[in-house]
Amino acid sequence: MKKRIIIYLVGISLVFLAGGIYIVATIETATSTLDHLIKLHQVEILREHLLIQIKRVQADLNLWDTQHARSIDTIIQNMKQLDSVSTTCFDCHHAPIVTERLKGLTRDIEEFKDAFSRSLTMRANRARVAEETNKAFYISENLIAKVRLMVHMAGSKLSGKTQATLQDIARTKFLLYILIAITPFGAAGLGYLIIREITKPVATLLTATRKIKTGDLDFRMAGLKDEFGEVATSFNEMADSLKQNMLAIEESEKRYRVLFESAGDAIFLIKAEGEAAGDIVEANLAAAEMHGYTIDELLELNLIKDLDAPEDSLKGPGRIKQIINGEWIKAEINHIRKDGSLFPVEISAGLLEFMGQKYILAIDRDISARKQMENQILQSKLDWEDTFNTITDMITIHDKDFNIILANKAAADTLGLPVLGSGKVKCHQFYHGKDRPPDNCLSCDCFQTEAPVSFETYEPHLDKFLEVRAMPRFDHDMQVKGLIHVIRDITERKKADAALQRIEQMKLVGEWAAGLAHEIKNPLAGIKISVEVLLEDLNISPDDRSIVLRAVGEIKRIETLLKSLLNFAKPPKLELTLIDMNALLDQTLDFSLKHPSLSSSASIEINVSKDFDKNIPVMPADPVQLQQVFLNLLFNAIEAMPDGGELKIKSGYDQNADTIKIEISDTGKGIDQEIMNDIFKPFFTTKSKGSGLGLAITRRIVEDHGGAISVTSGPDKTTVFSILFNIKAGKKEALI
Amino acid sequence: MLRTRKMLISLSLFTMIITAFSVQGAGTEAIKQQASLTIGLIPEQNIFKQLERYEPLADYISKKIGIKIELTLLRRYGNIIDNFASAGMDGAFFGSFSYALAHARLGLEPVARPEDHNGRSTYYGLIFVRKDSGIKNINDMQNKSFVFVDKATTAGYLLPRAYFKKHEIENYSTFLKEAYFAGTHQDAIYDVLNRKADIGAAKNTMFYRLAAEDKRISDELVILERSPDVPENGLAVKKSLDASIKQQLKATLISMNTDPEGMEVLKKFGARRFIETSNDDYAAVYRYVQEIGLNLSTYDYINE
Repeated sequence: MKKRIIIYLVGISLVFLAGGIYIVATIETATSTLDHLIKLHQVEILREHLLIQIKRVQADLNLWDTQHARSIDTIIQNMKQLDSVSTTCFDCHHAPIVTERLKGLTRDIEEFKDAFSRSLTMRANRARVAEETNKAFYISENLIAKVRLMVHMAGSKLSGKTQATLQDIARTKFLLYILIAITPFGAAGLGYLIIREITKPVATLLTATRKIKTGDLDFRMAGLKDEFGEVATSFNEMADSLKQNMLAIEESEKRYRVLFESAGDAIFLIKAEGEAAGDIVEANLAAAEMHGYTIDELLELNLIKDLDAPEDSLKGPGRIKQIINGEWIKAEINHIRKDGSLFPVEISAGLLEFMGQKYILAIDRDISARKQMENQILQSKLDWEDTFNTITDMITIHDKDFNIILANKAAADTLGLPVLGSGKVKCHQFYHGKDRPPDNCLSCDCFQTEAPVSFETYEPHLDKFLEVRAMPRFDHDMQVKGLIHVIRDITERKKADAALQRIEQMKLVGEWAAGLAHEIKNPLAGIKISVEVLLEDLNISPDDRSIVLRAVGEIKRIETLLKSLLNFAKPPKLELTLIDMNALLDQTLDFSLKHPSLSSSASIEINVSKDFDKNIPVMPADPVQLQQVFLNLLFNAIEAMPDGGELKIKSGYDQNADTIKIEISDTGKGIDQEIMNDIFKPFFTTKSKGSGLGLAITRRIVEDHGGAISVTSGPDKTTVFSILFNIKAGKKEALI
Repeated sequence: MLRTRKMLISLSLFTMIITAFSVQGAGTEAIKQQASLTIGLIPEQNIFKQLERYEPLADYISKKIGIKIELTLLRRYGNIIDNFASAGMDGAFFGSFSYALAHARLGLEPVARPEDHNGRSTYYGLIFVRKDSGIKNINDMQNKSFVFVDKATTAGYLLPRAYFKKHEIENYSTFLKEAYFAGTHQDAIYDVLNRKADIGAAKNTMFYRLAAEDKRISDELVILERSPDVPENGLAVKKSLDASIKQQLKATLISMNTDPEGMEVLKKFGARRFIETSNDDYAAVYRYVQEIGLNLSTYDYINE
């Protein structure tokens, strides 16, 4: 159709173009012809003018030498005009033959001018003058004849040409009238054809669309061609497709209807906007049964106002707003049955739009049974967790990659575990403080042996004695998938055992030492008396006297040793009183700094610094025995710095733990790690004249006060003795 | 050097222009009174051609001096003497002899005359015959026909008169079979060439100008005698003409060759330039007239 219309339009354009060209060409031709005709007439006039001019000059010649002769100036003027007219002839374009004829004419005029001039100027006898005048006259006659001939020829040709031209113009005029008269009819005819070509198929299309509109999907178009034919084919295909889709929709609707009506969940369609928001538009059988209504009763209700529990009904508008904003919401709320009982439902709702209206599709599931089950499960879980966390033993559950995946409270607290499940929590990191499992990990044997293992060990990282039981965990294929640790902290038990053992040992040593001292004391007293008697002898030489004096000194030393032994073996009972720890420390420091052993070596430069916590409360203690503790530690420190150094005394109070901590540090020789565990043992000494009982007595006094003493010695040789007194324990000890 | 020459030419031109303007300024009064000047022409050749030759020159002068130059043509040389006053002429381009007559009778004063492309400002008269006429000397001329130009021309009449006198022929009209006046030099030459006359006399300038166009003239004619050189046809004006106008006429003509437009007019006219002319330049004519024995004040110049 498009091509045909284009062809029609091109045809019309070409016809109009051809007509226009024909009209223009015709006018052009007619104008040219008329122009040519006018020029021919001009030529005719010119030639006649030339003829007249020649005749005028001839008249001048004839009248010459008569009484009517014109003046020579007039004659010359006439001749000039003749020349001018003659020259004008050459202005026009002529055929070669005419040009040649005109040139001949010009030559004749020149000859005439010569002859005329000669007639005018010559002075000779009559015959000669007459001859020259006649000659001039004949030349002029000849000229007149030639020009007359040319005028005649031009005139005769012109007449024919004029006639022919007028006929041509008349014919052209007629044709133009015809053309102008025909053109509108032709254009109207072609326009009618084009309109008919377009409107006919459009009418067919209109009929077809109306049929489809009325639901006649079986109607098909036929008989159209070109583009309309293609449109008709597409239209028919569209009708086919529509019919297929309609059938599919009907089928689908049936399926959805069955699905809707037979669904186990309650399905509601409610209004989403306006005053009627929440009004039930559609509900299925499950909805009616679930709420104890009939479907018709439900269609009279508002889902939010009538079926939601009061506290959930308040949140209804918020949920509708969420849905209108495009969210598909899920929530668990309570619904009310017709009998007023509440039951939990899980709602799932979203927006639906059709026919320009907004609706909410809500699917409600009765989750009463599920809720009950969930509550039971939750209770079981809580019970189990409570049990798990109540167990005082540490329980950790591991996978094969040494990750702790579950731990009870005791384990989490002791090991300082982070929240599990947030990342990889490696057991070796928290049990051993190492980046990988230790080489001699006994628990790891479970993975190979697939059998439980139990052992006791001291874990330095935790500073705890642990009783470990490791049990492999199996998956469904009985493949080891990890292990369970059940670990009991037996540090206190171990300490109690060690203390008991030490007490037993001390008791034994004390009894032995007391017996020995008692046995030695009496003979030693006899020896001492004997030697002192010997000293009173006046005849003893001075050399012997000095030997005897040295013997007396050694006996006194043995007495002191025996005294210490007896003191260690049978310590005096604590005489408790409330003491100010800072004052006691200050007092003891002054005493020790003024002790002769230190003041004798004045060259030793020891810088003493004190850092006392003023908030330390008073505590019950035996000031005499505690002074002995502090003196022992201060003397040891001063002795450790024979070349001078820094002595620091620090006290502090932890309000939360209600503990007093005292630190005495020096920058002396330091203590080797090998002997660190032995220094508090009795009779262990590194001094040449030491009894090995100083630190043993010190620890005993501290422990008698319910405290603890520890020592650290760093690589920089700084040795720190720390004493921690628990004030409550101290009180308890005091009560005992 | 070239620059110096250019500068000199420019200076000369400037001087001339200043002169021309000053002259024009001086004669303003006279020019106001003198609306036009009538200049006569003698029929040196076909009168129509003669007019055509002088018209560009007249237009040029009119434009330069601001006075309309009106040309008037005379049928015969001698008429110029008769008609000078009656025709109201202010001046005319005279032949050498007609000037001598006009000067003697009317007291006209020469102004300027042309110089040809070869630098000549004179001409001379010729007596010629056809080669095949058998005429070689005066004796052969007896009972022959002789065509003169006009009684008031040097070449066309004085020369034959001198020639006859030289050969002691007192009355040529009885010696010759026929003697007549062609009126123009051109016709005199063509009459001999075309066997209308046996012997002819005309000026050399016209003879050679026509010979250049028509080869028959040099091929078929032979020259038997020539006259002394006399000044070429020049402009002479009446004595009563305002001196300033006369001066302007002279200045315009003499400076034509320095003006491109004037050069173009000169080219059409057939001259290189105009040179100043005085009565003394006509000494040769006066001498010739004397030799022949003519009395200018009584000479009858009307053709017989």
